[in-house]
Amino acid sequence: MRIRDEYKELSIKKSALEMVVKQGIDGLSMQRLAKLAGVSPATIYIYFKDREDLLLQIALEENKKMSDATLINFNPEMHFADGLRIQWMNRAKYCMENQLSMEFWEQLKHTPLYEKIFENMDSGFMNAMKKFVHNAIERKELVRVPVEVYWSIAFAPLYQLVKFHIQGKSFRGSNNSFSLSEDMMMQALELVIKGLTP
Amino acid sequence: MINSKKVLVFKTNVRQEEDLKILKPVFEQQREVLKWSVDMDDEDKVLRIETRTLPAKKIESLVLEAGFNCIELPD
Repeated sequence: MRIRDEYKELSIKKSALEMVVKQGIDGLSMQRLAKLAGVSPATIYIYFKDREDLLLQIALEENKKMSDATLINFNPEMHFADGLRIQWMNRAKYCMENQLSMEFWEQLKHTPLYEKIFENMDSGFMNAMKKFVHNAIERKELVRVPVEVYWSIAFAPLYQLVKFHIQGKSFRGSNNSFSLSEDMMMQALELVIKGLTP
Repeated sequence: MINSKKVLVFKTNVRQEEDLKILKPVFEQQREVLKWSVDMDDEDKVLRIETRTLPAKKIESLVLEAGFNCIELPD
């Protein structure tokens, strides 16, 4: 009889995430995954119904970790500038410490599975973000623009800086090494807040 | 003693959705099959069966009779 073993389940998830990052979604085969995780293919199917179920469960777990990390010390009632600063700090920290997870998301974004993940996500994070934005608009701390415009201005600059940091260089080429300092981040944030203030 | 639920997995040569329509009545007739699914995304087209009582050999022969290869994957 097979008994659930949490350690094995973790090992399967961890190896699957690595495999997707290194070889793409199509590169994830249960046979090779079994070898990498040190279990038999049969064992994988005890924990996961099929490949899609495995990917879905990893994605939901990673999403939960990211949401939790982003909401540390955050409260949707905060003044817009304070709330955004905390989110920038949290998001930057999470991205830098979880690069594999970020790359995993990049791979998933372009698959039909992405919609399904979205449907199964915990709505707590999205609701907190919505509330934060609505409060800020009401208090006239934030301009009213379409949500895509808001997101692109509020967060895309941060993610671009983090990307440069992870690459260790910017668009200026390999001769100019780049490392993101907190001062630089705050400088960018100040401009973002300036741009979003009515 | 109550038999606990077990998961059996098999490598098959099921290829398309049409093949699943052939297997569907086969498993639906087996009361002891609690759940069944085929991982169509994986190269081994793994058949996964949840059952309390059915032995792997019985599943293999059912699937063979339906016209597909079916070999249990070792634990």
